[in-house]
Amino acid sequence: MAAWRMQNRKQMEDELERELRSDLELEAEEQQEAGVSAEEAQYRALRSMGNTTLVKEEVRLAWGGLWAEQLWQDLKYGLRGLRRNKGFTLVATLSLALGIGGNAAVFSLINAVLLRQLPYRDPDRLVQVTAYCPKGIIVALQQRSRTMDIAAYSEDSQVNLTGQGEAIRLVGSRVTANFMPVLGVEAQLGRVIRGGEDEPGRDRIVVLSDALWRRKFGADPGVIGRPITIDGVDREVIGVMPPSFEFPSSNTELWTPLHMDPSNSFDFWSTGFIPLLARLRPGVTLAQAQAEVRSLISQVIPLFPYALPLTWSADATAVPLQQYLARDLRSKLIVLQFAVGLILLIACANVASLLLARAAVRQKEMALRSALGAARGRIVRQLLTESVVLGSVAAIAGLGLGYGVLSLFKLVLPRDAPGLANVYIDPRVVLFAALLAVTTGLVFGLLPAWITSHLNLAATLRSAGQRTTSGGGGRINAALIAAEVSLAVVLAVSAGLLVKSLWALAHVNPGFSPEHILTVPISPDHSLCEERSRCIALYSQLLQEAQSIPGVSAVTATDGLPLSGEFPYLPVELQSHQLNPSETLAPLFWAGAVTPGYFNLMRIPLVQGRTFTAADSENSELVVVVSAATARRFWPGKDPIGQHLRPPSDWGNPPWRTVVGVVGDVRQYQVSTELPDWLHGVVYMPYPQSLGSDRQLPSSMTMLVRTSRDPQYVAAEIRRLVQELNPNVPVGEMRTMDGIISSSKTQERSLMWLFLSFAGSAVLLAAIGTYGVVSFSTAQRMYEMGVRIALGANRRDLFGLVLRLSLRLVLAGVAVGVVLAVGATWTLRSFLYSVSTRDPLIFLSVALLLISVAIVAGFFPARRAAQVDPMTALRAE
Amino acid sequence: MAPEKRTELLQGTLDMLILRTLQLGRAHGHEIAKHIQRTSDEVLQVEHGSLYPALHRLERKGWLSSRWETAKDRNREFKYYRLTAAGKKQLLAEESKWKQLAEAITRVMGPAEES
Repeated sequence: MAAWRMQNRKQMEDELERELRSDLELEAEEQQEAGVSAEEAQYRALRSMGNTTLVKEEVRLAWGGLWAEQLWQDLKYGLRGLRRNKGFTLVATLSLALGIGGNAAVFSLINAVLLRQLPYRDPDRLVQVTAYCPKGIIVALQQRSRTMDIAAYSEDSQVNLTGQGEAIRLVGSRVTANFMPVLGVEAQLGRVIRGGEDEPGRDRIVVLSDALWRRKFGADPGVIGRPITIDGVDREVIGVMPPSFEFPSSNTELWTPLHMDPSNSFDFWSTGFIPLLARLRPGVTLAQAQAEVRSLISQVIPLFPYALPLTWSADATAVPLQQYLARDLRSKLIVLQFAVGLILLIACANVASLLLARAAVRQKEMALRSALGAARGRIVRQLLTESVVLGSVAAIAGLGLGYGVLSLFKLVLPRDAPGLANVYIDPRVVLFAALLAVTTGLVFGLLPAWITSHLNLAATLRSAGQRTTSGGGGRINAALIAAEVSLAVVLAVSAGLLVKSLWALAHVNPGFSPEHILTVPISPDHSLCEERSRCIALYSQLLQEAQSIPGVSAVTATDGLPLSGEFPYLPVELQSHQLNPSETLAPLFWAGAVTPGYFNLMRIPLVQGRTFTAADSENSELVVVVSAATARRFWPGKDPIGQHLRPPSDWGNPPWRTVVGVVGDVRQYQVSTELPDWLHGVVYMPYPQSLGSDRQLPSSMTMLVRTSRDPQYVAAEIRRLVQELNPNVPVGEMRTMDGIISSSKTQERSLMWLFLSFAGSAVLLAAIGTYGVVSFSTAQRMYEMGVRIALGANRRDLFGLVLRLSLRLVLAGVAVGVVLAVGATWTLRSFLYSVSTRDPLIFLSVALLLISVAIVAGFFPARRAAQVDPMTALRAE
Repeated sequence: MAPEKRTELLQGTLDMLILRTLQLGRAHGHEIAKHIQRTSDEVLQVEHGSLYPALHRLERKGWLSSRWETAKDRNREFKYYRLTAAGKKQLLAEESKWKQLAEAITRVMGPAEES
């Protein structure tokens, strides 16, 4: 078919040629017959025919279908042009690839997190009900709701898997029996948890994630029906989920039914406030569901067996699930998109200015082509095709680059965000990059193409080369460069602010000294600690034996390692602060259990009183230590020692605990903040007397070891010790305290590096652009320079002339950029620590940086101008 | 040639003139151009740059057909165009449209000449 077409085409061309030639010959013959000389006849015939090439072009247009052929020609021509100008092509492609690659990478994140449908049935009908509820309320809500089918799930918690080789720690979620049916997911093997299976007696089942099934059970289909032991409870494996199922997070490895036992009043009403999701029933709108949530909440509050503040879940509503899941990522993605958008703009401006400069050089070529019969539209189209070819080449390079930087970008986001594991360059991303390539190609190509095609033909052909002016091109080019510089300023300021912020973070005193501390998580089954003395004995024996490992100078343990994500808390009632009924619940405190020696080992200073000793045992007087900020907040001007506090209970009054010491404040949660605002204080309890949030003795503790020896050796020794004491106790991964602090800042750090590389690229692009424009305009003005010298100008004047040109370009850009940056950096507000978005030092440094870029970019052209030989320059005409 | 008498063809009328010329029988491009020039007393000059694209366009629309044939007076082949049945219909349509237009323009222009 195509071959036939080409054949046909060739034939048509030949015939057209023949037709026109026969006309020409006939005209000449007729002229001759009218008595004109042969030569004159020939000449007249040619004149009457006009521009043969143009006639042929017009006829071809009439043939139609021509655009494809012209496009092919333009493509070939464009590629040839790109090959010829290797330097130009390289710089332009790299600039654009940077822009397109960054955008493709960010778009693939946005695609995965915000755009791609959640892998559940009718995901648009799923909502998150933004209330955290105990089991009793969940049941009440399920029974009363008319608009939604409500399910609940616990956020990831750690459980032990024993009896399958070495005991291991897994991440699990407890879910209501209708959870999986509400999401509309099916197991890839076996079945999901179904209605009624959260009742005691029927709930001894478990569903595995695909990853766990492959890792721990060798992807054996026979796993269905097999009993496994989770946290000391035997459960039957009933199903394996597909790999795409990652809820509540991508870390979740197994799902067990929520234990719904109304006879255990404490468990049913007081612990485990967990999140809710729901499916809208057919025909129900989101607004109806939201209204129902408000009324349901007020209906169920009286059901609590204890007094609840009226403000409980007052702001609860229903939001689309996808929106809820992306809530923390959205602002970061916006900032990233903003930054890569700027890079792309800069790249476009850069390439446009390069093309403009090149267009000025190619004026003669274009003039010649139009003299030879190329229509203006055709020339514009050809130039645009070149740009789009350039854009497409850059898009391919950009996709490769995007693929490479994607993992870098992912570091900026929380690792376990659902959907993030499935970020890849899918067809939608490729389409996006292709669109970008074509759009940018048109954007940066249109201006040069327009200018080039509106040439004064005769003037251009007549003028003798170097003195050619680029029409309006020069001024437009200067504006492009100034714009580029201003955008680079915005990125550089952003990067500067983030650098300063991270620097400030690095110099925060966390309240303890992390050097030479190893941490090892130890996690016996929760059931082991139901008998408190067994857990107490286990840890005291373990600590004692670890003390004798060679090279270990101190050992201690806690259930709330700072900055590690472990975050124990309890409501705390203070004897000195009677709550009145209208007040909210007792304030929540960070409440950690520690063994003696903890404060010493962590070098947390003792401010007042004493710390814990081995004498603070299960049966001795209940004592606590509070942080200095807590003491200031609750007992200002009073002696905190001897004050009393206790975790309140809805069933009877537990005994008061006495404050015996005050210690320095520690950054428990984040290096950047003292405490989240929902926590009002910090209290430490001696391990044998301590309570977890379920009011039981914490079973999982982190051992801290101060040692100067090889960490691996010490970790192996501890593992051996634990194995000897109890082989069913999993030992987690050893980490250094320094490492924990460092990884708590991973997201900040990667955001900073990203912006640094953005800013670096932007400044580099701006430098290239400035250099290009200045050296080009200097080259065009060599004649003028020669004249100036011949008329007695100082060479230093010429040097200054060119340098000033460069400075003028950049200063204009800096001025605009500073204004833009003031407006734009507010988006970074939430990512900055103790740095104002208008930090004058950063703005000043960035301005200076770009001014030095201007000097460097202007230096070489300026030197060329100063060294011009007037004779050569003038003769070149 | 009388350059001062030359005038530009109205947009779209060239097609009609070509069809009309071919109503008399086959003709090649050169003859068509010459015929239009002659019959208009050299007022209408047909540029090659308009003529040939128009011929090819009309052929593509199916109003003309073409064939290489030997000329009667010269021993050479030319590409001769003929009116097709569809072309004849088209010519009628264009003629009546043209007449309407010409009359309309005449009516508008007529009285003003008197004053």
